[in-house]
Amino acid sequence: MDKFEKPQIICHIEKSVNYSLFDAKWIPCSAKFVVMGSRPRGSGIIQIYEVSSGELNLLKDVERSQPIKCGTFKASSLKDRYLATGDFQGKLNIYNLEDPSIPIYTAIAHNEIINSIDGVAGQSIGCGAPELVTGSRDGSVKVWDPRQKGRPVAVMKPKEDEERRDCWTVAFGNSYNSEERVVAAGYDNGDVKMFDLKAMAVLWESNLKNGVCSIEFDRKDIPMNKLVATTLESKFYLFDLKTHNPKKGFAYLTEKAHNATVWLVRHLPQNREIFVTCGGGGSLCLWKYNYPEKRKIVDADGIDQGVVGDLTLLQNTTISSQPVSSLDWSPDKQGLAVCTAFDQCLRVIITTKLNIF
Amino acid sequence: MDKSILMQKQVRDNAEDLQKEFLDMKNWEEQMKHKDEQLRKEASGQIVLPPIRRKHKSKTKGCVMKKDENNAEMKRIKSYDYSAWDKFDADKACKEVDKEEQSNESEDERMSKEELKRAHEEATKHKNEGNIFVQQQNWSKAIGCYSNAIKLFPYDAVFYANRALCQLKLNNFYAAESDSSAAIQLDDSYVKAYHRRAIARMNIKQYKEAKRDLEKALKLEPSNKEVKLLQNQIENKLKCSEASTVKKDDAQQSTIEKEGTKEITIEKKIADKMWNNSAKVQSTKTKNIIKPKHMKENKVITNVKDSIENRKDDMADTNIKKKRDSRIPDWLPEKDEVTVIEPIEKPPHLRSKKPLTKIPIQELEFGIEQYKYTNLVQKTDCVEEEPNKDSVQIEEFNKKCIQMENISFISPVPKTAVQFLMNWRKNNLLEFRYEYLKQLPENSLPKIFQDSMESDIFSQIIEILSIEFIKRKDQIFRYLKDLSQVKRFRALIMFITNSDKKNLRTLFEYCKTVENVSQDEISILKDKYEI
Repeated sequence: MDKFEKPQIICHIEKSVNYSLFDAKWIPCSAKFVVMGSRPRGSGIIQIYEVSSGELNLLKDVERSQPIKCGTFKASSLKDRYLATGDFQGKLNIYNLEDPSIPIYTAIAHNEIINSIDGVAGQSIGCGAPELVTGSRDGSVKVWDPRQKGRPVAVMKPKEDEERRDCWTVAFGNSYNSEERVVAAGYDNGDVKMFDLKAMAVLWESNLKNGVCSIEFDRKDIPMNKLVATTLESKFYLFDLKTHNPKKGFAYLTEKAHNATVWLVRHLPQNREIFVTCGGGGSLCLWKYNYPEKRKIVDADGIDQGVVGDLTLLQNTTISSQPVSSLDWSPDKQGLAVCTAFDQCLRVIITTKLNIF
Repeated sequence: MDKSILMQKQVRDNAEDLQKEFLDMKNWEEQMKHKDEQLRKEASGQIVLPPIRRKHKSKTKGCVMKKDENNAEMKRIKSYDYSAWDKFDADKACKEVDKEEQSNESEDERMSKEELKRAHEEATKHKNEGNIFVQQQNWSKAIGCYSNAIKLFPYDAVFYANRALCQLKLNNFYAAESDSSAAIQLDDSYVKAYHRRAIARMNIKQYKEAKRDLEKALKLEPSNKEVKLLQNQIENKLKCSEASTVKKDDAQQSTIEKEGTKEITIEKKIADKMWNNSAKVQSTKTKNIIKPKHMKENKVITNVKDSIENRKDDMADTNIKKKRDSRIPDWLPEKDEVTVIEPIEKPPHLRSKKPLTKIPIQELEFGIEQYKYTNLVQKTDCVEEEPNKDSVQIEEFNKKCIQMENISFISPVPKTAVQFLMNWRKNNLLEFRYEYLKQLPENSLPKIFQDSMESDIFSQIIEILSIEFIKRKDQIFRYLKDLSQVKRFRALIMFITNSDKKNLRTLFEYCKTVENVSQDEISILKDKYEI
C-alpha cells in the first residue's frame, strides 16, 4: 500500500533514434530540448525536439563533423539560450540555436575528448560572471568565459611529472556572489578535487576508490551545501559541505544502489533535497535527503564537525535495458525530465507527487 | 478484505493523478510556447556582468594551477638575426603592448577602497607639510609637497587649489590657472578654486573668463567679500581694455595686410611642395582644417594634376593658380576672406597651452566646382590642339579618379543595424549604396539587422538590387535569400508596396534567367516573399 503513495516515475514519451545519444538538455523557458550524439559514421549531431501533446516534434537537425559528448545552457542568459558543447576532439563550441550552422564561439579546449561540461551564472544575476568548465580525458579542467575568445580563464591540470588521470565529470558550485566559485571534478581513479576559483587553489580532495562518474552540487548559486558523487561499482557518496573539519574532512554517507555503475546524479531544480541517480542497468532511483537534527557538533578537540543525515529511497524504476547516459530535469516544470540511454532511445519522463515533499 | 478495497482505491487514485498530470502537462506545453515566443521578442536589457576572471599565480601541492601558456613571453630577437626580424610583426607587437598597458590601467582603476584610503592618508601628510611651508611663505617647497600629495592621491581638489595658491604667489599664472581648473573639475562647488582661477586669469588678461569665474563663485557664496572686491577690479579693467582694443584693432588690421602680401610671395615658392605634404599632415595632426571632408579628394586630384602637368606643362593651369593664394587648391570654389590654417609644426612641448580656437566648418557645394575644373582642363587641351587620343586619356583618368573617390568613401562593413543605417543614409547616391551593399558578405544581412529592419530600408535595398545590381549583372539571389532570413521578415512582406512587388518580380526573373538559379530554390524563396 505504501508503494502507491510514493512518487511514480512514468515514461511519458519514448522515441528511438538512429544514432548514439550522449546528452540531452532542456532549453530553458520552453517545452523544447536538445539532444546531442554521434552518428554511426562518426559525425556529430544536435537535434531539437518539442514536446507537444504527448508527441515529440523534431524542429531542427544539425550535423557536425565531430561527435558531441556533452552540452549545457547554464552559462547563457534566458534571452540568448546559447548551447555550449564539448566534442570528441576536445573542441568547445557555443551555438545560437536560432542559427546553429556556425558556432558563435569556438575554442580548441583540450587535446582529447571533453567528457563533461558545466556552466554557471547564465540565468542567475549577481552570482558572478557566466563561465563554463570543461573536463577532458587529457586530465585537465579548464574554466572559460565566453567573452574571452580562445583562451581559458583558469586551468587546473596535473604537474608535468604526475600521471594524467581521465577527468570524467566537472561541476560548478558555491557561486553565491560575484567572487566566490568552486569547481568540483571527478577522475577515473576515484579522485575528487574541489578547486576554489577565487583563491585559485585546491580547496579539498579525496579518493573514493572507484572511478567517479558524476558529481553535482545540490545548488550552484548558494554557499555550498551538499555534494553527491557517483562511482563505479554501484556506490555513491553524499558529502555535507557546510562544515569542514581539518582532520576528518566533510561528513559523508555512502549508499549502494542499482547493482551496477551509478552513471549519473541530478538534483531536482525545484527541491534540492531530492535527486535522481541513474544506473548501468537502465534504472532510475529517486532519493530524498533528510537533514539530521543538528548539522554540526563540536568534537573532542573543540572543533566543529559536520553531521550527515540519511537518505530515503522514494522510487526505483527501470526504464531501459542499457545504461542511462544523461538525464535533465526541466527547470520549468517540476517532475518533468528528459533522459537518453545507450539503447538509442530518448525518453521524456514524468515523476508525480513531487510536490508533497 | 479492507486491505484489498484500500488497494483498489489507491490504484484508482494513482490513475487519476496520472490523468491530472498529463492534462497539466498539456496546459504547461501551451504556456511554455507562449512564454518562449515572448522571450524571443523581448529586447535584452543590458546586464552588467562582473569582469572576466584575471590571472592569479598560486601553486598548490596536489595540482599546479597553470595559466594558459599562450602568451608565454616571446624570446628576445637578437639584433643580428635578420630572418627573425623579417618575420617580426611590429604592428602586432605594438598592439600587444597597448593591450598590456590597457589592462594595467584597468588594474589601477580597481584600486580597492582600502588602498585609496591609505593613499589619501599619506597624501594628507604631504599636504600638511605643504601648509606649514605656506605659513613660512616658502612657496616653492610648498609646491613640492603638494605635488607629492597629488602624485599619491590625484582625486582631492584641495591639493590642487593649494598648489594654485603657491603658483599665484610665484607669479606662475598659467600653472595656477591649470591647477585651479583641475580643482574645479574635481569639485565644481569649490569657491576658493574659482577665486584663484579668476586672479590667474586676470593676470593673463583673460578678463571675460575671469569675470565668469567670479560670477560662479558669487553664486556659490554670495557673501564672499574678496570675490566682490576682485569683481569690481575686473569690471574696471574690462572697461579700460574695451576702449583700447578698438584702437588696436585698426592698427592690427593694417599690419596684417602688409604681412599678408609678404607671406604670399614667400609661400608661392614652396607652395607646391608644401601642399602634398600638408594635406597629409593636416588631416592627421590637426583638427582645424578648412573643409576636412575634401581632404581625401585632394590627394587624388593633385596626383592627377601632377601627371597632367608633367606631360605637357599646361600654362593655363598654372596661370589660374597664380591669381589665387597658392595654398588653396584651384578646384575649391572661390571665396572672399578665406584664411588658410597652417598645420602646427612645433613639437608638443613648445605649443601654447591655450585651447585651440574653434572654427565653424561650412558645408560647401563641391561637386559642381570639381566638374568645372575637370572641364577646364579638357578645354585647355583643346586650345593647345593636342591629338584627340590624349584628351580621351584624360577623360578616362578623370573617370577613374571619380570612381576612386567613391570607393574611398564606401564605409566599412557594418556590424550593427545602427551602423548600417547611418552609412546608408549618409549618401543616397544609388551608386554609393550599390557599392555599400556589394561589399557585404553573404549571410551578413540577418546578423546585422537582427530584428530592426524597417520597411523603408527594406524597399530601398530592393530598389538598389533591381536597379544597380541588374544593371551590372551582379549576383542578387544571395541578397534575396539573406533578406528572407531577417527577423520580422514576414511583417515586412506584409507591408511592401506594389512597386516593391514589381521590383521583386523582376529580380526573380533575373535570378532565373541570368544567374541560373534552380527552379526549386526560386520557388521556395518566392513563397517566402509571397509572390
